[in-house]
Amino acid sequence: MATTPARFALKFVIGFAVLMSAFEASRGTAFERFVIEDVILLPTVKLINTVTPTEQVSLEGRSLVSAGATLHVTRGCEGVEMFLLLIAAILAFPASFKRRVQGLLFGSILAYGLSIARLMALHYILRYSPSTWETSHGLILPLAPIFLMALFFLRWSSADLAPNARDQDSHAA
Amino acid sequence: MRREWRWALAAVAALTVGATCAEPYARVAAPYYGLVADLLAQWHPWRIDEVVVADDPNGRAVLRMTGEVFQRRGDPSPAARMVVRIQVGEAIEVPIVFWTVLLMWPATTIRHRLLHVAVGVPVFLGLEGITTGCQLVYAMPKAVALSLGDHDLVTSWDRWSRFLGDSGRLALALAAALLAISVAKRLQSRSRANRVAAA
Repeated sequence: MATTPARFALKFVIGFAVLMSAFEASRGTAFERFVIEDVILLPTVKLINTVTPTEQVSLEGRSLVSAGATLHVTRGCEGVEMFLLLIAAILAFPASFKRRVQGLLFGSILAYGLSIARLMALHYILRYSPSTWETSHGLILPLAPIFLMALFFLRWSSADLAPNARDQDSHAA
Repeated sequence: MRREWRWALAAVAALTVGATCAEPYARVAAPYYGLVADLLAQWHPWRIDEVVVADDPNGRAVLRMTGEVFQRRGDPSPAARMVVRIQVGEAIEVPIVFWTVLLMWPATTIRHRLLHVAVGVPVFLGLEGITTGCQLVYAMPKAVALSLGDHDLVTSWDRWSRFLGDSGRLALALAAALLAISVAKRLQSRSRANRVAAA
């Protein structure tokens, strides 16, 4: 099954808008608190304290608080959108069910790792290099994980196309 | 070179350009954002005074829109004065994603690449209007509603702004680039068909 860039783009944007709307509708629910606080923020705090025990970071509401810095994790800063972009892209791209499940599984692991790494980086930047905060927080740290996710998607989509291409070649032969 | 490595290098280059050129880009683009904001204000009880790059109270460069809202169109005195700020780094995200995808997309000849760019320019201007342009004015309807005593109203502008803030602008930038590529490809194949027919 072939797709054109425009068709993929349309499906991708609609898919992302639907997923984002669903997540926005869940704001304030136990599910949203579980995802943001228990799945993303708590492990981030634990990891920071494991890697750098002197930091003594604690989670207060949705803020990562330490002696030298307080990082307020606001709407859109939690990294959930990375998962949603991934899901929307994988659903918009023509692939077998098995490949989609593989893509979602490995992509989610990558997105989760990047979300946590991003929050850790934000904490350390705020603490030790506040002069670079603006560029890091405003541009590099939102975009770099998305670019990495895009590279993962490219790899996944080309791996999915390869067998089809081989199949088409053999039909042509 | 493998495709993934090409894209990875392009991403690094794009981030470098973004980190170094965010403020100059915002200065160049500010008049266009002002034009978009003025256009939107024509149908609403708002007035846009200026869109400029300025320092915020913390000394950071931001894109700043100042304007006024009125309870109704034609009211002599404003209900509120508005100042909306967007980080310059945020303003350059959309162009970075759009142009990276558009310029990195495989093209067989220089002519085809130029066609991608030619189709990309108007698409990009529209994209900037519906993303950063709208982000600059999204708070105006809320201010009008507040001045009329409606404190709980969530406007469609608020929803759009949230969508853009939740990486929707990046999704739109990618989609817009792919749309421009599709249109360019269609134009290419049409001109090829015309040449074959003529021959």
